Amino acid sequence: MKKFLISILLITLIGFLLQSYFPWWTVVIVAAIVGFMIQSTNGFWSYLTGFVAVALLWGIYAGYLDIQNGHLLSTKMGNLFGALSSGSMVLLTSLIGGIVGGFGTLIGYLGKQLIT
Amino acid sequence: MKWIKFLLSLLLTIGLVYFLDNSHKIASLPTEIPPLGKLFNPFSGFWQNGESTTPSKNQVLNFPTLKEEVTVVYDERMVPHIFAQNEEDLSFAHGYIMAEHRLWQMDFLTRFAGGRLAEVLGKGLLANDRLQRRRGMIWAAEKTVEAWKTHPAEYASLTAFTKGVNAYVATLSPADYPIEFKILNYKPENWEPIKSALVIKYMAQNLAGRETDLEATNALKLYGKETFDFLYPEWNPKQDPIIPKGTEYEWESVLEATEQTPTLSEVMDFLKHEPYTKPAEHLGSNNWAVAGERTKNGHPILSSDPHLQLTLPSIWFESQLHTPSMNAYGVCIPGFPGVVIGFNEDIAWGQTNVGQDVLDWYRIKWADEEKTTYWLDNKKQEVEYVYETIKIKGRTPLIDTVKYTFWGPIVYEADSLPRHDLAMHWVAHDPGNGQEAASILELNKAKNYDDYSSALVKYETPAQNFVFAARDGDIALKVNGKLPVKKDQQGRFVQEGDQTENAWQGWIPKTQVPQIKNPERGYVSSANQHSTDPSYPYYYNGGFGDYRGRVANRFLDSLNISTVEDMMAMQNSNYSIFAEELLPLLLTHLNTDNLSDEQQSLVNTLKEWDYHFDKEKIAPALFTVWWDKFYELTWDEIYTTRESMPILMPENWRTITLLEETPNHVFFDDKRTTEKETAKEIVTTSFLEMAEELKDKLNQEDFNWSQQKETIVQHLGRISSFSRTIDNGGYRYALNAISRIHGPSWRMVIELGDRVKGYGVFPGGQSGNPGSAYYDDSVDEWTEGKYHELFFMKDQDDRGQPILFTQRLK
Repeated sequence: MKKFLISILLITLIGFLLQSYFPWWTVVIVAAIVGFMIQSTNGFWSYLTGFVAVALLWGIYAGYLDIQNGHLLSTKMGNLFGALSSGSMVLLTSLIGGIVGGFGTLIGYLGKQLIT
Repeated sequence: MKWIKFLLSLLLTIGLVYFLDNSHKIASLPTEIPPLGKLFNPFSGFWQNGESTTPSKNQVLNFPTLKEEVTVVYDERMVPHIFAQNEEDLSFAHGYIMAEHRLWQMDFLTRFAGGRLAEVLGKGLLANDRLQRRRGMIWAAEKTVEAWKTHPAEYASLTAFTKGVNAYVATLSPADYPIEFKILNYKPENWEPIKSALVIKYMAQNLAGRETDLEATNALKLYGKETFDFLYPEWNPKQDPIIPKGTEYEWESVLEATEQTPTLSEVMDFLKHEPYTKPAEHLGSNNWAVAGERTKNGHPILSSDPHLQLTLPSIWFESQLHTPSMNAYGVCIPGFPGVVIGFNEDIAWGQTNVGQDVLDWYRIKWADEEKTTYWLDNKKQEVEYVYETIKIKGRTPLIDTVKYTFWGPIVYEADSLPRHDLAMHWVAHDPGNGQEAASILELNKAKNYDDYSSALVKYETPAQNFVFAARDGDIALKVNGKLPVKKDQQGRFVQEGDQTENAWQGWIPKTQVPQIKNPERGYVSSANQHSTDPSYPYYYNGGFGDYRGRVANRFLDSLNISTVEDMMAMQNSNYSIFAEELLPLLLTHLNTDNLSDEQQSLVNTLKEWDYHFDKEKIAPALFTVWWDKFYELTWDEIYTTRESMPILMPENWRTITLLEETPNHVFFDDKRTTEKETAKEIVTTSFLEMAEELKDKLNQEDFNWSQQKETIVQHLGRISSFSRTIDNGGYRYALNAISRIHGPSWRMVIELGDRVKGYGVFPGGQSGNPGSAYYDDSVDEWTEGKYHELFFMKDQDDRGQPILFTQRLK
């Protein structure tokens, strides 16, 4: 559990810093490195670590920007994606981030398995 | 096993990232799916475009190119008030600020105009791009830039503008790109002077690109001259021209009096080209100025409401431009420096479009089968080739060869039909005098009538009716622009391109363009109608409005003492003379013998109607559908012929006079039936068709004119959730000429008192960003006919109205 929390903390922190300057998929690499360095107990937990970390990072940041903006843009963008509400747009953002983040940590985990 | 797991998940991840980083075309969807990872991630995706609802902070920006410091004060509606010490700095700052608010719009408009959309949006836009290239838009814009370069002082202002735009583009990281770039998945690029030229060509295409030459040529051949003249008279006797009827012209035309264009159309084949989509005709612009002796406060009042397609981001960008030698306020076109319609401390000006036809077609007589040479004055001429490379997203570029002749580019080509290749001759193809920027700048600085006149001498295309009023009491209106001298009937039909004598005969001298100053009636006005009556010494043809000008003059005649509020009420008037003249005629001819109770109640609704196209009324919906059906049934034979070739449609006013004067004319016979119909049967049948078509809608409780009209302010890139639907009244033949997609793009009223006071509103907002509260914040006021009192700042410290923040550029 401690490993789980530390991993999440590292991915969100480093991911936050690097994504401000590099393309969005940098977060996958960050997750992979963290997944490699800090071994989860199994593949499922590994995936979950990356998923939760990036889902939190993207979701919270998107939610913050959305509140700043008074939900103006997310409402319009939600309409573009089949009448989704602002909240659903934040969740969708979180989900997309989570899915790719999970794969990041999983690759790191599986990579470490190769050499141990 | 471990390796397989690892590689599998690695491949899956790479595939997923690739999918989320790129846009995808899915057959069943009309548009591409945007790159979801790029678009949704909160660090550089769309979330970054959501502007904070708390106002921005003051900024200091450093630009080494500036000569002196520029201060930009933003008022409550995000209108920039730019204070510069010289004109170059002003243009730089204007470029920077326009880009900051409207970069994607500027990019999109110039890509549309220059035929470069397929490069970023894919092959679906290829047809648009090819047509724009064939029309010679880039060719013409290049020539314009060359002409600009011959005026170094003015070109400097355009290059400063360019530098300003690019200074903004240079600050952008992917996270800062306007949201449309993110959705459509492409990058902003640098501005160039040719793009400003393309903006002008875009306006010319919209405003000076309409003609009906092919349609008229076929109609003349099909019907013969007598019937043609009967169906398509050029002059509406009820017309109230811009220069009042009976005005005498004390000068001679530069053309020999008796010259006529050869009646070549009589020998011409039918032209079977599918005409390309033309700009809509006389959309609805109005302007007028009332002299001080007819206003309540004794000051001249000027009103101007240019009508265009309603778009978001708005076509207009409001700005105040201040230097030690000028102080102008008004609306500007993103992509070009200067105030287009507005006022300064001494004068105000506005524009409506001149409907004169300045685009003609010439058919080419080839001298060889390969179409490399053509005949001109009995000599062989070689065509020039321009190779247009059109980039297409995800495909190899298309190279389109366009042939240029003495007349211009060959736009219509038909390999199967001999003698059907048509070259376009268009006033906007001409490089012009290169003084577009200078004429606008001079107008911005003008202090009186003489300054206004000399600024307009430099103004060329698209020709506009420039209304004018000054604090010193003068009012005036000039039908101003580069207007060709034509022989009688010239340019109404496709002409033979083998003789140079078929060319235009030069340009009407600026002293002889239709104009009026301080008339006795105490006002000047224009609303896209005929410039003059037929006694004007020059022949001109084109498309002209028949109703708004008349209603404007009727209102102005009836207002002995005008106020600013009267002018606003006029701009928002939904009253239509078209309905006033037509509906009683329709009702007279309607046979009510066999109508059901419901149908009879529709007749009663129409009888009680006051000809106001107000949003909550039902009668306007009944009337317009009835008229459409009547028109279609009356001209059924023309519609049938139009299935095989373009044929001119008779004008609405002409159709009404036929109904009035010759209700038994053979044209009222429905050719599909054996009986012989007269107007009476057609009126009754079309009424029944209208009742049938609207039956379901009429059963809905909230059905009204607004619902029938369905006005929409559309996003330029057709992104539906960035558009706004509008619930309001108006009609194309009322001063408030709002149709489904057209309407007043800016309503402005200026009172020229000791201190000039301005009121204005446009259906949008200053920001081009859908994630900003300033994107569409004026739409509701516009819909309700309200105005903003414009904050015309005396100097940069003026705090007569609240401000949001200031930018200091140094």
